[in-house]
Amino acid sequence: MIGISRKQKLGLYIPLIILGIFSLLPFLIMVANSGKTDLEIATSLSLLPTGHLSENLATATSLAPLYRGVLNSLFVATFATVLNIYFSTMVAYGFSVYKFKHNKKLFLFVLLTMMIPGQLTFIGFYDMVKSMGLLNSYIPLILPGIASAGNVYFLKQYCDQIVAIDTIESARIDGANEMMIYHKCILPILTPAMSTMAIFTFIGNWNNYLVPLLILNDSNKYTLPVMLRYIAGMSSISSVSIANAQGAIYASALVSVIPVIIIFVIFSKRIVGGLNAGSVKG
Amino acid sequence: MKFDKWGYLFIAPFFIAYFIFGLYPAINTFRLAFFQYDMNMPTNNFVGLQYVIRALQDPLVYHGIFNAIKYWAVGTVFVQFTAILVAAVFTFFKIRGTHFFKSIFYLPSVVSSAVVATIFSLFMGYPAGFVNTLIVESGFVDEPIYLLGNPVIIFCLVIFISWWMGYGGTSITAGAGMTSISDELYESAKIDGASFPQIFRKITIPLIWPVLTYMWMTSLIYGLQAFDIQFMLTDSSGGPNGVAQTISMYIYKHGFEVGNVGYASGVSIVFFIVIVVLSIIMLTLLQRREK
Repeated sequence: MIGISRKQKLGLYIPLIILGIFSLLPFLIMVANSGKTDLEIATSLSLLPTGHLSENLATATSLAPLYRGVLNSLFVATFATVLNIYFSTMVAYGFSVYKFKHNKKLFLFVLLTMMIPGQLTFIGFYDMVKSMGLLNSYIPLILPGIASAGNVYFLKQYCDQIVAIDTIESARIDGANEMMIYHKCILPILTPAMSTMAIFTFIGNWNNYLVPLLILNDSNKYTLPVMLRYIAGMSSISSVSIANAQGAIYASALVSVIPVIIIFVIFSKRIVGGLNAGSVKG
Repeated sequence: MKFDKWGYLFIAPFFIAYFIFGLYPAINTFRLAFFQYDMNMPTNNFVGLQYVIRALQDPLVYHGIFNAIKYWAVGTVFVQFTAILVAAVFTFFKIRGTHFFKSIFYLPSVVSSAVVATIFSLFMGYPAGFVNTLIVESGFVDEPIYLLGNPVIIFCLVIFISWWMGYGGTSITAGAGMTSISDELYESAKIDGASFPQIFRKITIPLIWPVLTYMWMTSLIYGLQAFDIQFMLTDSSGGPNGVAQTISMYIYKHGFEVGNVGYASGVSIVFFIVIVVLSIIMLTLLQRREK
């Protein structure tokens, strides 16, 4: 800590506040404009909504099943997160506790899988999903998360620190089998790390754009990012034509960020703390 | 130990899921590059290396790769510059509401790229987006401007968005690196009469540098994959003269718009080679630094 005068300190707050305004302003404009008419959006810069949110939402839902999208996203993100965390923890525990042959080599393989980005293989992924008859299904959005090398890596470090062999051995003497020991004795003590990873995994799945864009082609099945782009496309925003239904698009964007913002507000300590641990890619 | 065999059962889910959803698609992409194959009319003609060779000679492939690298490099400079300053302020001075500021700075990166691209393209919209309203109402220009038709504006906008979404998280990680520098080092520097800028330049930056170069290099792989923002801001077209077309967008275009899956896979193979080469260079550099 370095001591400075009050005046100097004030000088530090000003740039921080300006950065804070930069971070928030786009969201504030979004909130304001989702409550204004298209004419007001086009002619005024006021950040005060004028009470037209429900009209804008009505326009949005007439273009696409927006609320259906909320449920779809909730469904996909929840299942993907639960499976991802459950299996990543199991795999991490397996690597951490059991000294089987080639443990180190197999773990290195897990880490190496991070080097092959999914973007390289999406053509092959799409083709495989198509030949499995799984286009328009949520399975290809949910199951791949089971192999999540980053989460395995982080959870293994956590297991290395926290899982005591004594606990496992005394349970073995009591006659419990290994799966029972894992579920009854180990999972409960791993929940803090699991829940931190779950927050990031949920947000990541909620925001996923490319894979749902490839896999889903029925607007009733769209997750929110694809749904939002669909609504924006329906009212053709970035073309040279008159911008129409801006309010409806802002309102749809608002609907699709609200759940993430709620999670963020509730868990912000955990999220910032998780990043602080240097363990999570933003 | 007789129990150790159980380990295989515990780690099996990762390998099963990875072989099906990670490795097989990769192999499948390679396989598809050798066939003339249309998404809509499955005609499987073996064409050998033809598509890979065509991709190697396609200037737009290199354009897409250089574009992705350019966006990554410029964006990262701004992100890391801001992140170091912000992290230093939080590390060295008792700022009230540190957690509040950190959360606010990090907020843009938890929002989906679809929302970000959508609201920013509305801001830049023609003729009645936020920016146009601002510059027309304030008398800065007479007529609204078609902002997203200008390659320079698109470039700056993408850089701005990656800065806006990126510096918050990076500053938290950089701050974790800074607090790990021992207090004694700072204390003895202060006793020797060093000023804050001197301490920052002579102690913090050199000690944090490894963390930063590591973050910088590992982010290259992610940067090369850039897709979402550029794709959505330009309505999948890549913008005027393909200014914002990244390699992933080019693969998408051939696979899903042109419908030439074989060629899209050929481009993916070239992209794969580039990633492997860059990864090897990166790892060598990181290892040399460790010695």
